[in-house]
Amino acid sequence: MHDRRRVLQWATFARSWWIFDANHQCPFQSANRLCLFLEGKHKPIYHPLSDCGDHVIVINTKHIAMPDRFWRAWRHFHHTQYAGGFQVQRAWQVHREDPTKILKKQIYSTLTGNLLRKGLMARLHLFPEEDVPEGMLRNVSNQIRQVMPVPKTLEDYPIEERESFPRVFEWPEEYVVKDGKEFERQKEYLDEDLSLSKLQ
Amino acid sequence: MVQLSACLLRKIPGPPRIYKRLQTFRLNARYEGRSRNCYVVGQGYQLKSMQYTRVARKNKVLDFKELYNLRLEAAAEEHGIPFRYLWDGLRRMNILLNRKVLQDIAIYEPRTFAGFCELSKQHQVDQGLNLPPHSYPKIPVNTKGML
Amino acid sequence: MTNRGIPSAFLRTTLHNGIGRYVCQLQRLTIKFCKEQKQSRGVRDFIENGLVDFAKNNPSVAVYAQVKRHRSPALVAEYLNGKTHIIPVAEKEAAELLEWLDFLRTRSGEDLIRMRKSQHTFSPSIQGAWTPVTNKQVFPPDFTFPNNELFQAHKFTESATDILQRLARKSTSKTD
Repeated sequence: MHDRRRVLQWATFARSWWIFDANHQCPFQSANRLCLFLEGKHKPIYHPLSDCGDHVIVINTKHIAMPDRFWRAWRHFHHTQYAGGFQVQRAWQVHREDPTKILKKQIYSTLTGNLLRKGLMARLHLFPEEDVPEGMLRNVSNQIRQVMPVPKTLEDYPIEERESFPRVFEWPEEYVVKDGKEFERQKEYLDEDLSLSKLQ
Repeated sequence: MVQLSACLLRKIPGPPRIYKRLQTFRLNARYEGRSRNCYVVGQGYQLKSMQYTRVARKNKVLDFKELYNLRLEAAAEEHGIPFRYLWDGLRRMNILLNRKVLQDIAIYEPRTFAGFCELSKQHQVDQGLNLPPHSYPKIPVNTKGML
Repeated sequence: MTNRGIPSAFLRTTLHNGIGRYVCQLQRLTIKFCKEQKQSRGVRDFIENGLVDFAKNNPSVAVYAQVKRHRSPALVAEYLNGKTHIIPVAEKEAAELLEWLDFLRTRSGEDLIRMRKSQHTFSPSIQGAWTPVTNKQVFPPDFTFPNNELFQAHKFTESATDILQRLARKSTSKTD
């Protein structure tokens, strides 16, 4: 092959770095999108045998949002290969031990199970918070779009916008708005659950 | 059956048997063991290999179609348009390029492919069809109603 | 039956032949025939009637006629790249021989083997092949990653809040 053409091929197969913010993102939908970038399926030159995947940095994995009841329902199985060595952990238990593990497991199972998978996983860099090493952040040349809109709390809106929000009706002045008792009752259930888990 | 004389009644010998055998040996030349040296053993291998190739001829087409779809989805997504919208737009504009040629263009002539994407977006807007909100053309293309 | 086992090649020409002056790649032609047997009759007929004309029309080809007693006739063509192509012409008529000679004369001398592709080019791309930066979004030099405002999720459908706000806006504009 001619020297000039050889160098052009380097440019085509150059590896780039991407960053993804997992704040309030569903890990299942995120995994589907991140796998595209790890496998190189976001490039028109994709071929399953040519190793054209990119590096992906994922930040804020501690703040992912599981859909529906999945914090309790999603289970992580592990067996030590010894008698009685079977373990089951719920998502919230796994997440408390290692905040990057749920996303990592999900991406691992979404990738195609072949000999390339180990190499692709090595190009995935997960961080529980936003503290990415500076040298790694300097490589980043583009960002992956989030999979779902990040919800805003009431406090995030400025007061003017809150005041001008259209209302169907106005509360009468003597009306007492419901206190936070319902929320406290839910919180008690949660605390019970947490204390049970500590016993285990 | 035409028999004009007694001498034509005799059994006419066909081509030598070795030519039929040589063909099998030639096809099985890459195999190991007796399958390439013995005709009787090699016959079965030859038959099976031909069955495999018959299936593979169809699967090859499907595999390539799957690969082209993956590549084209990636290529179209770079220009902010889902591939199914691009495909639909090109059909409507009577640009009848198949998947193989389109993916070749996406790799080797990327600016032409970008033009296809912008045209397709504009054409769908002109027709009053709904695009995804991020897929509208960045700079309006004046098609003068020619597409 | 493997395609891998069959020799194959890409389409090519000999040293860009024909871009400047065309050079006939056939250099030497040997016609082997027998003077007695029936299967060389067409060849003998051709040598008597058509061979001189052929040699005159193609001065760059050296033509030999070689007698091989009691052997089947053949055309042996030798090319500029050193390769030899033999065509057995037993029981062939003189008119058919002329066609074979035309075939040998216009050939490049490369081996006739399976083509991997029906087309081949040394410059596949005029605009430059795709690279990761070809269609990349351009960011200003002071841009820092991550930037969550620019890379929010696309909103495909209206939420209930959006619909309510839109209706409220419509009603207020009507009253105005």
